[in-house]
Amino acid sequence: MKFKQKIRLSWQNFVNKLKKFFLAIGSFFKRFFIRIITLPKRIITKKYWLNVFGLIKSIPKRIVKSARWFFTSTSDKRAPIFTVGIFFLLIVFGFMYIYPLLYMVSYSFMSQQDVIDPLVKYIPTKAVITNYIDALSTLNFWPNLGRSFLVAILPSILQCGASSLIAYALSRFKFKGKNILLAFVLLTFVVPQQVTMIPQVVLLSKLKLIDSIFSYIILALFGQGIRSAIFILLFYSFFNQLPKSIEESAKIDGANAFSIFFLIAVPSALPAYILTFLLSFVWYYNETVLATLYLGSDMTTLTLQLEVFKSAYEAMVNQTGESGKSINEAIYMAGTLLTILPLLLIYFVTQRFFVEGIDQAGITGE
Amino acid sequence: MKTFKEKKKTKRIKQKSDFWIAMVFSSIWIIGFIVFSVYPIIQSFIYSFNQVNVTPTGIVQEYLGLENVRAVLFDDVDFKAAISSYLVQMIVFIPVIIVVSLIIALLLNAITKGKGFFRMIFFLPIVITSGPVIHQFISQGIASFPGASEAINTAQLSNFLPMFIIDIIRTFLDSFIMILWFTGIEILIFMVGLQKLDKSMYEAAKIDGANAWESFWKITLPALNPIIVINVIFAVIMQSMFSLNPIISKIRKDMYAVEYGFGYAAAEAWIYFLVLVLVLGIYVLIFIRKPKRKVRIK
Repeated sequence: MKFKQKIRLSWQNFVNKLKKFFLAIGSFFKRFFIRIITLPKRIITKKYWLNVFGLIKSIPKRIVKSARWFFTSTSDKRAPIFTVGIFFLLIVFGFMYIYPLLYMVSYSFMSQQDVIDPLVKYIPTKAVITNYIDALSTLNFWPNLGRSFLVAILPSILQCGASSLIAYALSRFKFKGKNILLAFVLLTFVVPQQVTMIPQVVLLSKLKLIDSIFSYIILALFGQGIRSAIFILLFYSFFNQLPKSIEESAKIDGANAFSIFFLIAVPSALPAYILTFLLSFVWYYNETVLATLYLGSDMTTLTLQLEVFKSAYEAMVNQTGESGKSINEAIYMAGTLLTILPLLLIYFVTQRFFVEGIDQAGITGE
Repeated sequence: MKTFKEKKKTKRIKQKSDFWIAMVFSSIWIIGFIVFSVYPIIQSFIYSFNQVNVTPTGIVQEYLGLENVRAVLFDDVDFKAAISSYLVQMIVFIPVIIVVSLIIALLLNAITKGKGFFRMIFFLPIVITSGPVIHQFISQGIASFPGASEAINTAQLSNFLPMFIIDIIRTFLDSFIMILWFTGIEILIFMVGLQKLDKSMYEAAKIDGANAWESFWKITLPALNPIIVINVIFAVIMQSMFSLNPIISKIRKDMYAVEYGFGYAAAEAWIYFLVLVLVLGIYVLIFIRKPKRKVRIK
C-alpha cells in the first residue's frame, strides 16, 4: 500500500476505535444511571436480596476460579501468568537498556548545585537549560552538525549502490570464482580496520584525496566503506529471497541484465536499501577513529567535537572570560545528548523500516 | 535412433556462464578491493617489518626484520596487558551477549501486542553506540547499575575463588549495561531466525507429549545453531572493532608515538588480527555442529 493510503487507513482505524470506546463508555454510564435511579424501588423486593445473597455465596468459588484461570494454558493461548511474566521481563530488560539515556536526560537538566549535592540523585530540584546552552556553543553545534550530516549522508548513498551491485552479482549469476569472491567479501569483514588504516591513509594522501571528505567518498564508492561487508551480505540475503520468476520473464521479453537490475531488483529491495542507508548513516556519523585520520582537522564532526569536549569547554570558557566555571557532568551529559539527538530523531521516525528491512532480508544460515 | 556422434553432440549443452556480466557488476567492488584493501594489507604487512617514520617529505622506512614483532611480543608490557584484558573481554562478554540476546529475542517473539514498542527500545543502542558516547558512560559510571559491583563483596570471594575469576566477574558487573548495548544486532538476527522456524515441529512435539522446556532445548536450540554461529562471529568482530577496545586504543596511541611509529603499530595490528582469528576460530568450533549424515537404509 502506498504511504498516504497507509496513513489514511491507520487514521481511520484510530477514529473507529475511538468511536467504539466512547460508545462503550456511554452505554456503561447509561446502565449505571438506570440502576441507581431504580434502586429505591428494587431494594424492597425479595428478588434483589436473593441476588445479593447468591453473589456473596459465590465469592470464594469465583476467587478460586479466577486464580486457576490465571495459571492454566489452553492449546491456543498461553496462561496469563506467562504473559505477565514475559512482559515483566521485557520491561525489566527494557529499563536496563534505557537507563543510561534516562540518566543522561535527568542529569543534563541539573544545575551545578544539584550535581554537587549528594542527596540529589535522579530528579533535579529545578530544571535548567543553561547546560544545553553551554553545550551548544562548546560543541559548535550547527556547523559541526552540518558537517556530520555531510560526512554521513554521501558515503551512505554510495555504500547503498556499491554493495547492492556486487551483492546482485553474487546472488543472481553463476560464475567461476563466485565462492572466492564471497570469501573475499568476508575477508574485508574480518580484517580489522587497524590493519588497513595506515596504508590506506598513505595511499589516499598520495592520491591527494586525504584531509577531505573525498577520502570517505572514494572508499565508499568502491565498496570499501565502513563495514561494507555487512551490507553486501544483507543485500545478498535479500536478493536470494526474491523470486526469480519476474526476472526470468523479463529476460524472455528481452531485457538485458542492467535493466533487470535497475527496474526489477532495486525496487523490490527497497527495505534493504533503507536499512543500509540508515545503518551506514549511523556508523559514519558515529565514527571517530577514521574521521581523525581521513578527514583532516578542518572537518570536525559532532562526535569528534564530543571527544574533545572537556578541552573545548575550557577553551570556550576562557574565551568568554568567565573563568572559574569548571566542567561538570551535567554539561557533559547535555553535550552527549545533543550529539546523539539527531540520530535519535531519525531513529524514531524511521525505526519501522529498520526492523522491517531485517525481517524481510532474513540473514539466516546463508 | 540417434547415432553415437549425434548423442555425443546433444549431451554437450553448454552451461551458460554469466561470468562477464557478473564481472561488469562486480568490477567496481573488485577494483576497490584490490586498490583499497589488498594493497593496504600487503603494505601493512611490509610496514610491520620496518621502522616507519613519517617525515615531511614522505615515508621513511628502515628495515628491521622481525624486530618489531619481537618487540611487541616480548618487550611491550602494555601490549600484553591490553591483550589480556581483550581476551578477558572476549571470554566474558560474548557468551553473555549471545545468551541475553537469545532470551530477549525469545521474549519478543512470544508477545503479540507490544512488539513494536519493545523492539524500538532494544534496537535503540545500535544507533547511539559510538566511541565518545560510551566513553562518557563509562566515566560516569552509567555502564552498570550504581553499586552493582559493590553488591558482591569481592574480598570474601577471594577466599575461595582464584583472582582471575574475580576479575572476570568484576569486569562483567562493571560494564553490564555496556554488554547489553552491544546486543542490538544480535537480537535482530535471532528474531529473524526464530520467525523462520517451522511451527509444525512444535505441534508434532506437543502431540508426542513434550512440554515447553523440552521443546526449547530439543527443537529451538538445534534449529538455531547456524544462527548462533553467525551471531557469535558478528559479536566477536563487532567487539573487536569497537574503538574503546583496549588494544585498539593502544594501537591508536602507538601510531603517532615517536619511538614506535607506524611499523610498530602495524606489527601490533597484525598480531591482534591473529589473536582475533584465533578467538573466532575457537568460538566457531565450540558452537558449530555438523549436520548429521543421513542414515542409509540397506
